Amino acid sequence: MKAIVFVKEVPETPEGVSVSENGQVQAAGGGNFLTDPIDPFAIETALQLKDAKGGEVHAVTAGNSRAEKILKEALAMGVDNSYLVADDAIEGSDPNAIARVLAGAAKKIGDYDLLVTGDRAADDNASIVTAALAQLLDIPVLTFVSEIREFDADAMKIRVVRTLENGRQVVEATLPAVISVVKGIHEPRYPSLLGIRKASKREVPTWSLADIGVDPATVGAAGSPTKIRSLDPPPAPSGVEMITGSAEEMAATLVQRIMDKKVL
Amino acid sequence: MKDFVALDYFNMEELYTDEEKAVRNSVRDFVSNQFMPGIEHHFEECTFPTELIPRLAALGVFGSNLPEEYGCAGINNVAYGLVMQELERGDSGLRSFVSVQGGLAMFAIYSFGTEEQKQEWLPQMAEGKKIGCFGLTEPDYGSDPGGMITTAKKTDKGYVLNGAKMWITNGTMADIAVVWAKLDGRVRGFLVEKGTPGFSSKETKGKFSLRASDTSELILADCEIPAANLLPESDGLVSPLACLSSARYGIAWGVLGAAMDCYHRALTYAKERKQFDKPIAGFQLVQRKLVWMASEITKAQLLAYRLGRMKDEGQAKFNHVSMAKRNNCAMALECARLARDIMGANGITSEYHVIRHMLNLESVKTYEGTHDIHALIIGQDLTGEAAFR
Ligand SMILES: Cc1cc2nc3c(=O)[nH]c(=O)nc-3n(C[C@H](O)[C@H](O)[C@H](O)COP(=O)(O)OP(=O)(O)OC[C@H]3O[C@@H](n4cnc5c(N)ncnc54)[C@H](O)[C@@H]3O)c2cc1C
Repeated sequence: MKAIVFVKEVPETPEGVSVSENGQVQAAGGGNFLTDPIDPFAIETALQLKDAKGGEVHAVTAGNSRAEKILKEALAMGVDNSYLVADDAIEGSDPNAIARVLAGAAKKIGDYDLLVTGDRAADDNASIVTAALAQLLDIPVLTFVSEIREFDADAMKIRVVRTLENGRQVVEATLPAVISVVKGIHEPRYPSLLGIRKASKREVPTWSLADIGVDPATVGAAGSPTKIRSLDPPPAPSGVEMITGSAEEMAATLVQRIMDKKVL
Repeated sequence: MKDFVALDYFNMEELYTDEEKAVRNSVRDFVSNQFMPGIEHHFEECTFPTELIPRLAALGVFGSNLPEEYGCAGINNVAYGLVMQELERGDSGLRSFVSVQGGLAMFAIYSFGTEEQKQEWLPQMAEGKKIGCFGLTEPDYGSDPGGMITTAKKTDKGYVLNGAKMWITNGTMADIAVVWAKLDGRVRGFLVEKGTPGFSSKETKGKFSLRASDTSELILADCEIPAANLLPESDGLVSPLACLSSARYGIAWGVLGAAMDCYHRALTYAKERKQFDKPIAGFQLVQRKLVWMASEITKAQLLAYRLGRMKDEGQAKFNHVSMAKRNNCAMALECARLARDIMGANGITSEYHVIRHMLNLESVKTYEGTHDIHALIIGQDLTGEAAFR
């Protein structure tokens, strides 16, 4: 089993995200960057497959040298190798162009059975890269995966549960495939202290676009047809209703609200 | 309560390496997600969350500054200190468990054991498969352990131990006890395995402090152990004192976590709680308390940090450790009391956590050398005059 997990660094706070001059999501000024909170779930998914089936797990990100930190976190969690694609030409890429870079990296690593991403990134919430990767590599895509029911690299088959807004779906695809996982698929392991120490001593190979055979003209501003016009923070959570009255009244009202919302 | 925000008034963050920060963050997340949800329950019930032991082992916190060849993480002493800080932010009982396992029991075997003893015990203890304790204090000898009554006598097969040890953390849970006893009048270390005939333990009841920690009495009644269970390199009182120095170092960092948690909770509370039509954070007297806490925590952070770097460079001496342990424990206890005060009546409940830290820190100020005993240690170093007797 050979899996590649794509990870991404995101600004620590929502205020850290803005739109760049050429219409892409960018990090606004100096703030802190973290591994996208969804990524540990993607890494854990691949590591659990490795624990069960043997094989190897690789992590990749595209960006600049700062992102080495999140690749070391992936190493500390237990992935076998991490690769950074860093090239000035990547600056200003839209999700399609990023997918082109990541697809190039996947080809360079080669022989993969499974590509894993998070279901959406915390900064742009776009959920585009996963599908674009599948398109570029011409392999099946399974999004919003909440469980892997079956994984058989020899028979080249994967069967997963997808969690969608209106229910759950069990789907099967041939391998290699791309999946995006939702939070809660597994509880991510904590990077162990030994893992962290070893990871901090590892060199993370850095690839340029030339190294992975991607034409600079197809990425960055030139290769990014989509432009973001504006970006608003997510709406504040809708109002909380305080239920009052005697215990019986409160219970009755609560049950009514639950029925109204068709939760049950 | 808002997620924990660590006070970092003097941008200590810049001083830590990426590796040190990653270690701290991993333990911080673990404590927030795995430990905090159960702590009120365990504190109330007087139990240690034993179910976490395998997960703590997987994280690698047991003996984490000991070498990798014995199954340990081999992190440096600053990273180790940050681990202690994060554990004690959860509860002093959690940090005590890890300190005793690593800083005392594993450290004693590592420092004074044979290669066979190290190979046998350290990897299993790092994996949390064997729990250790450290028996030095006796009912009649606390600050003055050199007076200990527990004896070891050479026999044909090994040694016979007689005596009692009091206040022993992990004493009942432990699979292996490092017991200090006098052999021909000289203090030596011995390994006593659970189940050895003549060896028993009894949990100390009625504690108001370190309730989420096993504190026990060890009883040794004609307890015969094999000759191979002597820690051969231990020789005299300096040996257990070297172990204490290693554990005290962890305490100097650990209590920072408790203090930072109290500060975070008090600050959050003061901004939200309104009296006389405004948040209590807006009153000068409350601000003064918060300022005291923030200033003292910052000074203590700098002290611990410098001590850690000195330890990694081999420059830290026991008197430096004494100063950091003494200062930081007293500072943390005072922070807990001030936080309790700022929180008014809410401050006395388990839900608000600070009184738990406050009660715990009373023990932490006393164990591993009381506040005043450390004053005497530093005093002797400064003046050249011993004032113990
Ligand atoms: C929760 C808990 C866990 C513990 N875990 C362990 C453990 O795992 N292993 C272990 O071996 N021990 C352990 N201890 C014991 C601890 O180390 C002792 O309690 C400590 O050394 C103090 O000894 P004592 O309680 O006998 O107090 P005492 O020595 O009787 O001291 C009482 C008071 O007298 C003061 N005093 C004593 N001598 C002098 C002097 N010369 N000058 C001025 N003042 C003096 C002290 O400062 C203190 O205020 C633990 C204690 C607690 C509370």
